[in-house]
Amino acid sequence: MTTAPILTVDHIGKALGGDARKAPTQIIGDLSFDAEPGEFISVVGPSGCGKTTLLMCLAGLLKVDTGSVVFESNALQAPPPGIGVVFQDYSRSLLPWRRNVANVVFGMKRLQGVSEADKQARARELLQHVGLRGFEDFYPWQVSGGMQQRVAIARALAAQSRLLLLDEPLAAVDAQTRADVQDLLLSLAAEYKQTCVLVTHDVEEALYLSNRVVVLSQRPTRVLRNITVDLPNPRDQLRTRSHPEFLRLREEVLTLIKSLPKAH
Amino acid sequence: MHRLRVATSILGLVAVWQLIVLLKWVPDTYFPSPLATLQALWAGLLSGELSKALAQTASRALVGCIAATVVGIGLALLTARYRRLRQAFDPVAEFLRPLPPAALVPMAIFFLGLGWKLHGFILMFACLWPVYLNASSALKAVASVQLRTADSFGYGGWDRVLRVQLPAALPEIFIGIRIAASIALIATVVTEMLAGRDGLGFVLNEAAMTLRIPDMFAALLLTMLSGLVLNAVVLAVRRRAVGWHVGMTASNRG
Amino acid sequence: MNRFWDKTWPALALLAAVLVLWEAGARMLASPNVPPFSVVMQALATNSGVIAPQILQTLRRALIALALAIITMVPLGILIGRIRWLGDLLEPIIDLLRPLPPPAIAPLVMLFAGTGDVAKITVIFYTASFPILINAIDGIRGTHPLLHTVSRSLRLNRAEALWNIDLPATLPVIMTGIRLAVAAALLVSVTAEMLLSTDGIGVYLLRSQETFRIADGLAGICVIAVVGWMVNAAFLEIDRHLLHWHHATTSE
Ligand SMILES: Nc1ncnc2c1ncn2[C@@H]1O[C@H](COP(=O)(O)OP(=O)(O)O)[C@@H](O)[C@H]1O
Ligand SMILES: [Mg+2]
Repeated sequence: MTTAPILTVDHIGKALGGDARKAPTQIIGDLSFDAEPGEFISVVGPSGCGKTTLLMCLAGLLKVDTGSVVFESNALQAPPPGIGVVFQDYSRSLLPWRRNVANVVFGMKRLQGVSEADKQARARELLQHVGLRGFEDFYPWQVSGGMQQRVAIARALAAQSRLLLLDEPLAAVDAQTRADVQDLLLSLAAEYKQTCVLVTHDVEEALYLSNRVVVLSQRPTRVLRNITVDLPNPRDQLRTRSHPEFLRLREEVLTLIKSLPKAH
Repeated sequence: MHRLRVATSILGLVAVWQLIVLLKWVPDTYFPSPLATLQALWAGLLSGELSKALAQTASRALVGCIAATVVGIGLALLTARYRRLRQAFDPVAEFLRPLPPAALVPMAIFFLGLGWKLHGFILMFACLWPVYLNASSALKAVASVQLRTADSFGYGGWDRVLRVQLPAALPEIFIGIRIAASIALIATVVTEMLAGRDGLGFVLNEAAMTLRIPDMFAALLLTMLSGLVLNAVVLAVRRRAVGWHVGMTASNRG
Repeated sequence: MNRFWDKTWPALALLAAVLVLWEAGARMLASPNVPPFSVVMQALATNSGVIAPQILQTLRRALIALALAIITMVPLGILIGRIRWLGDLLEPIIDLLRPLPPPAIAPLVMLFAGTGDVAKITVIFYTASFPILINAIDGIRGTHPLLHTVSRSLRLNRAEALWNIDLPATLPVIMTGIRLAVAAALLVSVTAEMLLSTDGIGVYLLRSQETFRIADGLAGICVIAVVGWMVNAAFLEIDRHLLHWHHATTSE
């Protein structure tokens, strides 16, 4: 690929916390990678290594201390239009006083020149698309965790963002739902030619979904290895996961992570 | 079943009351029987003395509570939007909250006279702080996930305050409103007792001073009922305004 | 230090602005009804010998009533919370009486107890009782079911379980009730003095009004505000010390 990257993460560093008595903790060390348009990138790393922090920096929700995050050739200062986020704590990121449709409409704030009625119609369409026909007028807390996750994904898609950031979207759902939503993500990404950066601690999930896997070290985190995943598309839960290349990459990444010293 | 129990225990209370009177444990000039109280209540309602007083007290408390709610939430929204404003205002509110509204009555009479201005000022002073402080801390405590959600979808400034923080904080804001409602009734009655020319507080005092004890008991009963009704009104409004929260907590438990 | 200052200056600025406005406004008005801040402070200085004993009276009664309310209402609340039929019997009555504004019982109390210490303490006691009682009931009922299992597995008898497990677990909720009661007791003790006047800071305010000494009255109000704020702050601090384990576990 020779196109310009849609996202460039250039030697960023980030420290958090700290007050008059305590120095802040360095969470992100010195971290760089790019995302080309249409890529599906997974970022894997041990729990607590700073994946969420990284994603918040990519979204413009946290300012980096050093280096820069460049999205569509603008250095991020604040959350820009064009980046959608699915939060790790998705059940709380859905607004409980809004029904599912209204939660999806909430994501359309930045759409210019779309009438309220059109937004409603489009939100219903999106919800049906992610498999929630019949649950459009429920409140988020009336549906299961997997369904909540689908609402959150629909809401992020509703913003028509060119880059979708997903923070461990499937960590808290059961295995069957996880497989379903993985395939949903793949089909949505293909259909909308959506560039995605997904954060996870599940190596198999990362390999299954992505064209590229970025492996992070423990805190202060940096890129350990940037692996291109050359697996046949479309992916398939059974065939892809038993593909020799999949197994080889899985072993490579797991060995890499296992070689890390235990986090303090 | 629950209703039955409530009825039983209230009947029990009335029976004990009657028993105390019958056995003359206390002089019955000071402690009229339930029947005598009801008669006084009925007569007072018919003659207009009590019904007028009830209307005055209830409307004062209600209007005061509504006004304080509007002003208090408005202020809290402002201070939620502008951090410096909150840092300036919250300590002042914390400082003024423990000041008894009654303490202001004597001095306020100088400035405001004995009419509605006095009632308005005392009520606003009494009810504003619980509404404001509850709202301010609830708006501040909105989950950071929700704030980040707002930010990432392009809701900044007032959009964020009004579309995310306010609805998220509303269930807790109602706690402040409920407190304000009960304080509104207290402040109204106290002002009427100290500086009033009318209202249940005035009747209460007047009846006690002239030893019309059944009338005093009747006024006391009506005051209690106003409190019950006021509380019920707030709860009904709350159910309409934050029905989602009621549903959510119920579904979390079940 | 710098962070502290950064958080504090807006409040100090607001305070200074209000005082300056008050002072300047009053001087411009030059009406005897609106004394400037400096005059009120002078009145405070000259009257401090009068105000101090009065406010101590007020605080003394508030404290006695509070102590009585704590001694009686915590056990009563635990009994009501633990013994079903007692709760069924008494809770509707509590719910019925709760919305009655406490100062409204002052005339009734006066009939039986006159206007002395006993009458005022009764009114304050009545006021302070509700928050403590209600929180004690809710608290003891709300103890985590797991704790029951723990006390059963330790083979504690009822009294031991109450003392060693239920009471400490309920303490945070009871303390909240006590804090509410402190605030309410302060509010109502001034009110009670004004309704059942013999002495106390409330009476001082009434006298100031009757003799048109506005600056003296405003000085009294300032004292009440400061004392009220200090007492509430002190109880918050006590609460924090007593319940450090609770705050440590709830604030992550
Ligand atoms: N405000 C903060 N102050 C100090 N440390 C923090 C703060 N927020 C997060 N951390 C720490 O930063 C690390 C990374 O957090 P996070 O990005 O959520 O990790 P991950 O998503 O990879 O599990 C964690 O160890 C966490 O304890
Ligand atoms: Mg995380």
